[in-house]
Amino acid sequence: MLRFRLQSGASRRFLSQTSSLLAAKKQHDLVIIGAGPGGYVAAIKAAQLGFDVACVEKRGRAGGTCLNVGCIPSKALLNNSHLYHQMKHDSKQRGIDINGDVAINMGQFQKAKDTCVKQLTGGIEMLFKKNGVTYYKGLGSFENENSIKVSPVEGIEGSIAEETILETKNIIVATGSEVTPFPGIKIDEERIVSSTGALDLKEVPKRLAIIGGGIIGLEMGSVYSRLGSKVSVIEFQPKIGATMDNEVATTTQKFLKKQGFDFKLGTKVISAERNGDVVNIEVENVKSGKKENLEADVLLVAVGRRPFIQGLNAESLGLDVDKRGRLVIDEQFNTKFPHIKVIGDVTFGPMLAHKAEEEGIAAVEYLKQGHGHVNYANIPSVMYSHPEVAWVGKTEEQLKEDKINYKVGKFPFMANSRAKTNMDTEGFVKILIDAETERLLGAHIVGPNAGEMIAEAGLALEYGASAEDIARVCHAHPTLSEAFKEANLAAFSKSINF
Amino acid sequence: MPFRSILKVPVGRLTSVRGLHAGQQLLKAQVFAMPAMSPTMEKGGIVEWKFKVGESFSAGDVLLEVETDKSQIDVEAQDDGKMAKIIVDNGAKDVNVGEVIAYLAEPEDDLASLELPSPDSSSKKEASSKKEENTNKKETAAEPAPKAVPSTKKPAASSSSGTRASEQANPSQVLLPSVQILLHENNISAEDAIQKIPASGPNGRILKGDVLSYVGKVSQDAASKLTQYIKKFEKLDLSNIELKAPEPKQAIKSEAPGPVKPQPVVLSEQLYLKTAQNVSLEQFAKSLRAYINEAKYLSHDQPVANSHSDHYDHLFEELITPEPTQPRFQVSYDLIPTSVRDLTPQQHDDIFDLLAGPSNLSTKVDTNLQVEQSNEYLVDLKVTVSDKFGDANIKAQRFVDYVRDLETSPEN
Repeated sequence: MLRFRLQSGASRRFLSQTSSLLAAKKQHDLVIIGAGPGGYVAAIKAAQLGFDVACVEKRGRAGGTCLNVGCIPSKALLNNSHLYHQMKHDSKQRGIDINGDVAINMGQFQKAKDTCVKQLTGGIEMLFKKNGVTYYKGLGSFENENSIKVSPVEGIEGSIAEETILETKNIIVATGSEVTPFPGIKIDEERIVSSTGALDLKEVPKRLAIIGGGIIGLEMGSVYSRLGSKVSVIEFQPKIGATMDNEVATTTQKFLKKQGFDFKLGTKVISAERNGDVVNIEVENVKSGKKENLEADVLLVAVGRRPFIQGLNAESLGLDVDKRGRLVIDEQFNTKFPHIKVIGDVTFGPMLAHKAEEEGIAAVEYLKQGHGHVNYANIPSVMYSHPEVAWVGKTEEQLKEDKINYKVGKFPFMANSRAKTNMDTEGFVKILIDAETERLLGAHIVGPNAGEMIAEAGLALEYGASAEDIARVCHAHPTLSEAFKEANLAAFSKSINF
Repeated sequence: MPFRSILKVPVGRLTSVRGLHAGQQLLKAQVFAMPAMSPTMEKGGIVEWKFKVGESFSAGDVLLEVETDKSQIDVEAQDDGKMAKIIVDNGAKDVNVGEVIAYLAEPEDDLASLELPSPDSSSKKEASSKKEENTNKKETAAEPAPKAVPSTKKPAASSSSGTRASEQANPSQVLLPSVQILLHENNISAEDAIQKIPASGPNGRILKGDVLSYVGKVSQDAASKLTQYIKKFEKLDLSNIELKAPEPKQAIKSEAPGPVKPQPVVLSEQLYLKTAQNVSLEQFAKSLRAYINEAKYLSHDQPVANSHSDHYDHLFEELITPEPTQPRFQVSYDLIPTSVRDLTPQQHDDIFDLLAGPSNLSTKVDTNLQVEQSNEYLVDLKVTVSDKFGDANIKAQRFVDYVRDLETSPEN
């Protein structure tokens, strides 16, 4: 009797909280906030492991930044612009005469990109259905440590109709990241754009200025440079390519320069302002202090991304946030609550889709069986310029700093038969191995399809292979992958074809 | 029992004991070692064995309950089998991960004729019984201390607890091409290599560097040192996390218990008030307190709904509105004298009588003369609005308006 009264007292108190009064309630084992590469992969894996799992996404379309406004649409633009560039400038020497004009139809060019995005995001919803993941389109936020409130979002297709409370045993936060704004520069996504706006330009700008010489800036620069833009890259650091090996960064800068890029390194942006149809940018050389005024038709601000937790209401639970806005976790992705895990861009580590995916799987496996696996020493990076740039493991600079004796093996694509027949011979494979044990420590590739080739290096790293082990594996002839084998041969012995 | 979670953890014999197949023909009983239920687990207790010696079990059956510092976990069998011998009994605490806790047999095995290796004598047997050389039991025995066994089971655990980077080679591995050739060049058999060469690769894999170290071509610890270096980067560096300084907003919030509570609304108001010269601070403070209490009462008492409306129904309003006696907001204020002069007591203490008339910063210059004969005060008012009532905001605003009247009130 007493117990009964207590219960009714508790429920009355609950009813007085207006937000909970009207909301519908649903029960799940696991709720994942965010359907990006981290969240959706975790959701599917969890469903496969037998959890009753829900995934909440405020964008409506699944796939997160990567599929909607990141990796995927940019690759569509990169590939098609590359084809155009080849037809226009490369076909003659290959013996292909094109009668008539090769021209870009910007409308169709963008539509082709939108079509693949739509198909891929729709594909995720199909996978959710197939695996039995409940998908809520709406804004997810913490109601308390065991329930997530999903609120309707206006303007997205299929948004839930009414506020819903999801009561759950476990929660995975995978809210991702957003574009870091540049202090003092207002992004209007028309003339001053972020990477999102750069994917959707209605016409090819005559002059494109880019703040930031990282991967995003250089990829978008590549697209518009191929379509005819004059591209200038303004970078504060004295080198481009963020965490690239120095030699690779220099090579990259060289081939981009050959493609028409203009680089202003060691240069800081003082101000940028839109005046009608042009953007005026004031820059200053960091060393000399010399100021300069630049003019561009479009300015792309690509200075990085930052964790996104707006609207999550994480502060109400007292979840720790570090100085750079990342949610704080332990080695098993746990926040201060062991049943609330955080993965992907919103927490520590490189902001890469494939890193988030790995963490999504590992986090779910921790929930299921108390053990998961992500090897942070083996996360590849790829830049989809042409030639591509890809790397995994240590750079020369890191090894020098850590005082590890290493040997270098290099093989140029100029000496690779397949690259030769493709008339696509720019770049090299560079292998770093321990001087004594000859174990593979890092692989850096500039070259055609480097992004595919780096997978072999990842596998070798994971299993502790030495350069000799890779060189003793039979590689098909004639393929680009032979260059990888030869570089390993060069690292511990001598290459055959160079 | 404080907290008890039952996690179904399938632990097959293959995962707990590596290289099972190599030893199966030679040794019938299979070692069942203390499983690691998490990468950080080093020790655990045995709560209860669910099968007695001689009893058969099938895949999926709970073999035993293991207790860690965090929870109790069921350990399931992945294959069919029979309990051959229990080494560590129910209730044992602090059993090292990897320590032999039982022997399992195939369901059709005859326990009487089964060869049961003794975990204590196995190290002595090492030299004598050639027959057992290649068995998985040897893998455990070859280690000088049983403590090192967990590191051969779970590389993750060994890296976190900082044990040696090299470990006993995994007997079930296919040797790397570089290793095969080096062994051949140095006349070492594959069997010898697996027994004698410490492995620094993942999962007990012998790497080229391990053989080079072993045959003395490179320094002794080159391979294990390098593995230690590589392992450092396999995990996220979470060592130097600098937390964001809590914002002042959060300080208020932390006072409010329960995460569901939305942030309380705080209204703040600063009033500059002047009194006649002959009003003391004490007198003024007293009358201000009285006024604020009165304002509080009035703002609570009057209904929020338009009482002049035709639709206004007193009874209905009373039903749907919480008691006006329940506070809708909390008031705190500081009274700061800015220029106090005279302290001659005065008769009346109604605050409007004490105020010397409208005054604010902009009129300060004009009222210079007045300053000579009046006292100035700053009232710093804070109203924390309760979030439990729908009408709290309106009532709090009404209260602030009442208090604001003080500033604009004429001298009377």
